[in-house]
Amino acid sequence: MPEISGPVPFRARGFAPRSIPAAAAGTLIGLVLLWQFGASEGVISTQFLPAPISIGTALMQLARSGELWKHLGASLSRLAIGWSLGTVFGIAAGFLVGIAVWARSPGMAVVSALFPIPKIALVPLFIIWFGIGEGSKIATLGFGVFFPTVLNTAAGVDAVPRGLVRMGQAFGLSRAAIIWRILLPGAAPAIISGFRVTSSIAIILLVAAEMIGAERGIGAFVLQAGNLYDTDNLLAGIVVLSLLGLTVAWLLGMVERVLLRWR
Amino acid sequence: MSGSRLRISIEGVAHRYGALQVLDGIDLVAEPGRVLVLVGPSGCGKSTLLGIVGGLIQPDAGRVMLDGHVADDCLNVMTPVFQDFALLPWRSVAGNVGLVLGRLSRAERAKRVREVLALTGLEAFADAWPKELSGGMRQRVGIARALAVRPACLLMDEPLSALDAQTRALLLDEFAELIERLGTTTVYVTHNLNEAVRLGHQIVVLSRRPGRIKEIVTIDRPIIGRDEADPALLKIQAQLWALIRDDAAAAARERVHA
Repeated sequence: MPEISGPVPFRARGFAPRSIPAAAAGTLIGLVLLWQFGASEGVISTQFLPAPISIGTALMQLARSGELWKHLGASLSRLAIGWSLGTVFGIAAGFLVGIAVWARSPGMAVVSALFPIPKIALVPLFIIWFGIGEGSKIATLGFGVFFPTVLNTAAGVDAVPRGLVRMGQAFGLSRAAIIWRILLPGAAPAIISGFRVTSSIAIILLVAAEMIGAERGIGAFVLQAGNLYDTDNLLAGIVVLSLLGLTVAWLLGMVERVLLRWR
Repeated sequence: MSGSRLRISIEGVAHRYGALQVLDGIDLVAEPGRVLVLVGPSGCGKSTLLGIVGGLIQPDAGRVMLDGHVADDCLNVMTPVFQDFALLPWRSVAGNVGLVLGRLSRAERAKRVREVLALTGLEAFADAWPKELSGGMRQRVGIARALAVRPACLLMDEPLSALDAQTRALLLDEFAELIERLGTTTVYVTHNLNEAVRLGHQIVVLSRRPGRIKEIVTIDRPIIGRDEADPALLKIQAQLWALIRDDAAAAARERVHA
């Protein structure tokens, strides 16, 4: 029988990931510096991939000339209207599917049938239905946001412990009070976490719709720059989209911190 | 003291879940201001019977009748206290208590919340989230919420079973004082025979599934001052255990083999 002598080793190290914000920022800055260095040294062809400084300069010029705000304003208003419509109707439909027996099976059947359709494929149809103007773009965004919102909301309502609903009933709360004070806040984590997905979907659809039929908007600007082989402006537009995505994610993080501070 | 005086009569109640008959032929009366305790082996239908009494489960047969009068300030006649507390994690302690007072004006609600938080020793925790409280404190919130509606009947489903032994002992003393002082008709479900003899005026022993009334033991003395070391109470506890033991062992084997 082997003999043992010595302290018990600590074995519970690792498997406990944590965020290091400085490492995240450092990684991004490091990659940009590496990119700039590669472009300056001729390792990266600036004809195909311009240096970060050139992209920054193009961005500054676009901002000074007002071109950036014109395109960004058009994109932001489409994004806000399309996402809001898809979200409001999606939450309402998700609640209906989540709480009404008569709506559940028919609602889920329709959502399951329509959700997998790539919404970009519907843009030409929406142009026929709503015209080449704002209607078709907003409809594309709203449609793309609606279905995942329905699914997230219904899942969130399902995840609210039934014991809490029974508590509400046992204390004589009205149906409206149970929905507003128990089901809605209980489903909020799933709904808000779904916002991250739907905001990304909305940005993707926004660019696609603007590329198909728009004069203004970041998507249209990127397409025009690509047609002119103006890679500085093309990448400047892509940087704007990236910043837009980061800003939306940051805003949603703030919303989560405020609304879900009880977690 | 509660202004309500209600008698609960359970008449011929039976219930099944699918093919499983859980309750059969239950006839019981909970007298006004008295504590009726339901004990029995696991799966005998105690919680189902409480759900039926509270109107949360529709019985397959029989009915539950109420008889008496309800105080003007009573906002919820049959008021539950849950084993798992059933607190909304997104509402503060005061918010959880205030949730059930929606019919009162804002000022009346705030006043009543303050009153019951003081009664249950929670004044300092009014703004705390449920996650910040221990199990015992969470159950105090559950009690405060129940008292806030000035209930005519309290329906308590194993309210102490999720708590550690020390907290359970402390809360049991508080329950005894509160129930005696309020004089509210109470139906109390428990596995714990010590709780049963400390709180019950009438202890109803249910048989193994399908739950039927096996015996009703009466303890005619005030709840306050009951000492768990009292030989008379210990004797009743032993008597209850003798009634339940064989069924409890059989139910345990049933669960293992299920």
